[in-house]
Amino acid sequence: MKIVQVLPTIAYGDAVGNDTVAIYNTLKKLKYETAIYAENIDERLKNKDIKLFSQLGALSHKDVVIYHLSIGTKLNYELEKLPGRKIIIYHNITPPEFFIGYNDISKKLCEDGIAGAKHLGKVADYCLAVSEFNKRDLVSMGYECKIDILPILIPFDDYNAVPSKKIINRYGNRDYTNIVFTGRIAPNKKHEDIIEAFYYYNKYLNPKSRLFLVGSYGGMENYYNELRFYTEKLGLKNVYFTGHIKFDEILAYYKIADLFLCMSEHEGFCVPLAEAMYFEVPIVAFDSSAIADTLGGSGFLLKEKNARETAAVMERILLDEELKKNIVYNQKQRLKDFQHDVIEKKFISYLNKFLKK
Amino acid sequence: MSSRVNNMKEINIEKIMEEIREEIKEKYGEEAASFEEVKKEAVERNVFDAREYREELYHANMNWELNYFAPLPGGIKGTFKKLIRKMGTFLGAPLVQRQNDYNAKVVRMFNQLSNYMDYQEERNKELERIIEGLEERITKIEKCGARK
Repeated sequence: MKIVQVLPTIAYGDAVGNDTVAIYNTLKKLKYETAIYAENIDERLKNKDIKLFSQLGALSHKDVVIYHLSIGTKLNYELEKLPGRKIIIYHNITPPEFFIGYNDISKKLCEDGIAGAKHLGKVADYCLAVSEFNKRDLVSMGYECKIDILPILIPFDDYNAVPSKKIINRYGNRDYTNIVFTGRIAPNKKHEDIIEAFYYYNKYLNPKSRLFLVGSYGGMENYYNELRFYTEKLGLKNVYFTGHIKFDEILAYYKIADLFLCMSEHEGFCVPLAEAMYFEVPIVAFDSSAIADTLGGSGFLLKEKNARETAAVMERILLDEELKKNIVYNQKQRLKDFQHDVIEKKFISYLNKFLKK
Repeated sequence: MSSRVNNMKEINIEKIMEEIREEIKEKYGEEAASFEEVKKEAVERNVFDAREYREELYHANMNWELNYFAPLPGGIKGTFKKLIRKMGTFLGAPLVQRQNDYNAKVVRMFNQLSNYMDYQEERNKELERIIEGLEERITKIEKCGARK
């Protein structure tokens, strides 16, 4: 029996790509005949078992296809043509409305993705959702098969690499408080709400503070320009947009972070929360989509969006050592749920149950 | 929810929020501008900037061509780089050539666009003159009509 994974694009270092490779490694360990098939393959992924979708050979009805669903692609309609049982791993699709006025292509891809996801409801034999929120999403799209929750596999070992000294030397001095958010610049992530909260924090509570918005703005130039203009209008000097940066630089921003602020309104999982947990950075996050699921009772969850209150929460956490310590402690507890062996064990148990059926 | 929630330290978020709501009454002054309002202005500002376009076009015209054999510094480092470059010529030079062909086409296209803009600008001026003349004539005619 073969167990193959199919996805539209396998990129180097992104959440879906990492998850796919981690599952591949687990399947290999279990001695299954396995491979990854994608329409687009990042050249940096050097693995003979990562092949083009067009190279997918004949499958039998005994085989299993694991499909990673995250975007609009023709693969969403090709899957039903493949023999074998289908497992869908749902990574979530951003609601297209967020992209109106910013990027028509992204909007269209998400619209197609949602249509494709609905279509796949009839094709899936079993689903794995990376969060409870994603499970609810699948149910609302009419999925009737069994759905289990399996958090994304995060390669925490990679985070032990050496962080960029340049960034640490430049911003690591303790005179300033560093507020950080990592994630590509995209309207669903609501960077404007982070900037607004930072305005109150910086202007009224702690002028010696900086905000780092770490992430690429490729394809979202209009939104990025609006954010830049907004910071100008607010007279904020200490807001830094890093754009696309290297991995060691991302690590360095976590290292210099005093607080991680997330105001996103749509996340299927939000890997940066787990990263902040790993780097022991206290998290303040707005309760939306999968955020509460990922925090799992840790961090500081905001039930309402109020920039003044958010700024005051940031101040409280940064001044109250005991509170900060407790938040970081709880985050470390939560992080244990995302450890590789824990997730791997869960995956194997779910897979075995599915195969026995 | 996490299986480890029970091992967590209790943080009474609601109580903290209540305290914060009390405290912030005196903490802040001027309100932040709303993003929605600023966004409208940003959208207006995003409209075409002819001066910026011409500056960028000038730079594109000056820098479109890449030189695979651009001079390298001397010394051991330079010699080493030259050696590697020479070894990679069969791969690098055609790539640079293809990039240059593409760059040339793009710059030509933008130059054409610039010519079209100049033409349209002249044409607009001409049309404005015609409209002005016509408006004058209409006013005269209206005045004559009123006298009668």
